[in-house]
Amino acid sequence: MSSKVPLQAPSGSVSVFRTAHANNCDGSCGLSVTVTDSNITSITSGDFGNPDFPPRICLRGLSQLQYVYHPDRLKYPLQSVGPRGSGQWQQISWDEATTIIANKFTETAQKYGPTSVYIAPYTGSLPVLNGLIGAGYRFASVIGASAGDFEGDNEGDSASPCGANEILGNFDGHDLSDLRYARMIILWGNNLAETDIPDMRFVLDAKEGTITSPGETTPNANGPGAKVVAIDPRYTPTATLSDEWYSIRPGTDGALALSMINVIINENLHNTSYILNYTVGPFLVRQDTNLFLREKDIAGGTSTKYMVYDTTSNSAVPYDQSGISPSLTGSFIAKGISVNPAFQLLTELVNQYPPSVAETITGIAAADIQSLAEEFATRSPAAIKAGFGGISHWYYGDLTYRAMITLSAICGYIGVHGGGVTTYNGALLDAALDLGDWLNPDKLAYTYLAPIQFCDAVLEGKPFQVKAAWFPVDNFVNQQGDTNRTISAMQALDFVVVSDVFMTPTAQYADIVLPVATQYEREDLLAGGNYYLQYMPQIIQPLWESKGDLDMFGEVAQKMGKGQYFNKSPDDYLSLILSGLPSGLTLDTLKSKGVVPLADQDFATASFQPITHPYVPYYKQNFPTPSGRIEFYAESLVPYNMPLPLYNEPIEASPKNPLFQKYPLVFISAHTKFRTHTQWDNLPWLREVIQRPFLEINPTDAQARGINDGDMVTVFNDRGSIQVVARVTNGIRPGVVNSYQGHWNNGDFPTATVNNLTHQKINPAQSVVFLFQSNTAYYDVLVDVKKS
Amino acid sequence: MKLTMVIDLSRCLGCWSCAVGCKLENDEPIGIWWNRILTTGGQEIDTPSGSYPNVKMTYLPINCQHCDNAPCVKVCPVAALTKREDGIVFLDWSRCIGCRYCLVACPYGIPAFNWNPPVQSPDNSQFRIGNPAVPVRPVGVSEKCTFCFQRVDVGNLTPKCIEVCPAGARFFGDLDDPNSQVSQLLQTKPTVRLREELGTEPSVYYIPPRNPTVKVQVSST
Repeated sequence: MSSKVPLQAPSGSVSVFRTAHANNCDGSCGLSVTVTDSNITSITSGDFGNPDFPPRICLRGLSQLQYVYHPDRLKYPLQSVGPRGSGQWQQISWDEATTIIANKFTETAQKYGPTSVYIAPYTGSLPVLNGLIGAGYRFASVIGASAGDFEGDNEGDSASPCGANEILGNFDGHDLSDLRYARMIILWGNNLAETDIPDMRFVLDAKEGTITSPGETTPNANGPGAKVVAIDPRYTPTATLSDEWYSIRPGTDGALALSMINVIINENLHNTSYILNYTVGPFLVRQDTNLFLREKDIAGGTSTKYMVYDTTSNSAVPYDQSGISPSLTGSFIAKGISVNPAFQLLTELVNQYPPSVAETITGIAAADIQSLAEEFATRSPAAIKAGFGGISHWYYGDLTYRAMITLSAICGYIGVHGGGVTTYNGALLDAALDLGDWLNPDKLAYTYLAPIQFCDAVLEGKPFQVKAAWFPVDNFVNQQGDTNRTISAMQALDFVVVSDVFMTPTAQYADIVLPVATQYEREDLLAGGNYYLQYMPQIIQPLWESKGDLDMFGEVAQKMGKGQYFNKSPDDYLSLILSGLPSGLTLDTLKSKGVVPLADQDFATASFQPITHPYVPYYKQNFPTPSGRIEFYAESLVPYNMPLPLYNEPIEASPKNPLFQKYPLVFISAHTKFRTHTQWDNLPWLREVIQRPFLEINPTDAQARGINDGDMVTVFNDRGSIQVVARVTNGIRPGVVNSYQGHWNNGDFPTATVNNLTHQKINPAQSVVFLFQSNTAYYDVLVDVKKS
Repeated sequence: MKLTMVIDLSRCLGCWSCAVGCKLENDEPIGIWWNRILTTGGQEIDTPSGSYPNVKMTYLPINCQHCDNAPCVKVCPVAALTKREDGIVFLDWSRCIGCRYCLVACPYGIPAFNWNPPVQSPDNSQFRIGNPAVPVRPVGVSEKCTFCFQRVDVGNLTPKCIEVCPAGARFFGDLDDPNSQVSQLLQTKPTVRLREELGTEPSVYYIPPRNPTVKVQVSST
């Protein structure tokens, strides 16, 4: 029996740094990192200085040492010396690598135009210098390349923000600690307990009901304790912690929302004064054009004021005329033009979805829809926390999200503590910062190309030709829909650069691979995922020859004659970014405190209104929409016949689709707690718990195919297939199968990459909101399964 | 002092943060967990019992129960396992002879045996991770949760699993102090201990979980 060799005692040099975990789970945890003798030796949660926002961390943050010191990290720049994707590499110097990149980009731009070079920073890391909002976009701007956009383009996460923009004017969310004030919480397509783990705490606090609302002096009529409802086709950890679990047919959430609106209106539980004052409900809509009736339409002149029908004078009058009683319902003729209040049109729409009809669409019993709607309207305030995956990963995700916001709005829950519809919190931080001068120096700007258009651009020259690309902080090949088509596009490029921490599925298709320093090895700032600015000091020296994005883009820019845009220090750029804050927060203050909540005046400037704590968007009922009101009727969508948040069957994953006869199972690819998308897939502690990728399948569907638990199965459709182990479980709805997304297609389970099965179908209606047209409908997918 | 842990299963997310935090603090090698999250439900983790849609699933984080009447202490032939005054079932690795009686005796399946030289990630030939006050274990001893005695002994009554639980589901303190959080919880909440019928008198208490009512169209089309 051999004993372990005792280690040398540390020399005693121990320091502790506060930073933030800037990965893409939306938790944005503070981290307290212990460094012993220049090595990171421990990590725990970092404080936010606010007892209402406790220190937070999860298993992914606690595993970060295994990421930083992973033996598979890229250590040096590499050049491909075989056919692309062959895995044959030779080590080159940084000088050689950056010279090759600069020459190739210059050559490509001269031959095909500057936009033929595509720069694709993404959500692999979120900080402002070296991440999503970082140096990549600045580089794209100064060389005139094409690029996506961090505001909207989040592959499968654009549909909900698009819908929010259409109805509310922007995409904003409650500080999630505000959930504690809700008397009912619907976790809608949102497995919060597994994805954004620390924020589930606030839901549990609400359920226990120990918190009273700000300013509340008398107990709420509903008593303490929120009712928590999970709507999900899977019996998730979140569902197990809820009071009720509604197993819904995937992609039919919009029909459920419309049916709930129908119940609420029929039972007169809606908030009439709120609808009259803060929504377009009373505004008259012309039956001939489907546009809002304007004053000039009936009175001549140029006034474009919205019109309402005044029941006192029995006439159409400008909405802001005093002493009127606008109608929300009815059908009227205004100077020969047939008109209806928008609320009347909404009522007619939802009348098509009484619970008895919605039951056949959603698979939720009519009586349950009825009681859910009644409780939602009466347990005031009620909050909806929506998932990016469950709601946005659908072709019509924007319509679904609009229906959910409409449901909240008719109850008067928008802009109130404990109410609202929130998917992501922290979007406003970007608005508060001065990112314009950082991303667009000297007003230079890249040309927008949505990531979902990348393959079209490479393979078909639409909307323009792309010939060379650089993928920083982005495992694009693994995460874009339709992997086979994405690989075709990668192979068709003249030149590919990938900068990453590991040899990812994307990196394997590169001509030049650059080793990236992790977030612990360079200075940065995290602004997102919550309402705190978190300073990220450089904690250790970059390992091996790795560099941060700022340095590597700067070196290439210099060799392309644009060095003047990258010749300042990280501190200079952080100061530039902070200079947009009206509060005048300085980098020195931020550094000394480590974490600073966004100041009231910064919030106020970004959200156009005074704020309340915890942050609640639209608190003063101001909406940055064309009308300044909640627009559940949106003129911009008239050309697409979608001015109302109507329900459409999923584009692919519907029994009404003829393809359903061939592929009768809906395939979703949910997020696991053991990864953040593709990140951490190779960390041993997380791999110990879940060792093999699997497919969740209901016993009914498994038996029909002769599949037993543990069998290897092939999941397939016309686009591709995956091979994984069957997990036969009663925790998933019949007719639905799930395999967690994020396994690497060049890892130890190369046949488990779910995007082999997904597609790149673009919803043109989502292009009405600029920058939000890149939604990948990852869950709107049909497959069948057979034993391998 | 009577050190006591309370785990609120109505708040447990089954997220494994406590278990991974424990691995980090105590430098547990690959393959050994002092703290695990069992799923009370189906055969695999994160799967429910019952037939769809009438399913049930809860999580049960399990670590050494630090029993007052600990079977492992009774069977240890070399007194490597002892019950400390403060309630910790203490495992002295310098005395452990690797007989594995404690693995057999523990009704909770807690002790793990480190048969092989530890495989660590990050590779600890360069530097050691976690709390430097945690002893390095020789190969061929049993390992288990210590209630983070290396913290307790310096006056820190927050074991790593309590510190990092993102749901606020875990509590620790002195049951002899009526004002401690654990004392308050035991007075106000229903709690159970695992296999109390055995008379082991565990120091870990669980607040029972609740499961949701299922809402689904029964005659699914």
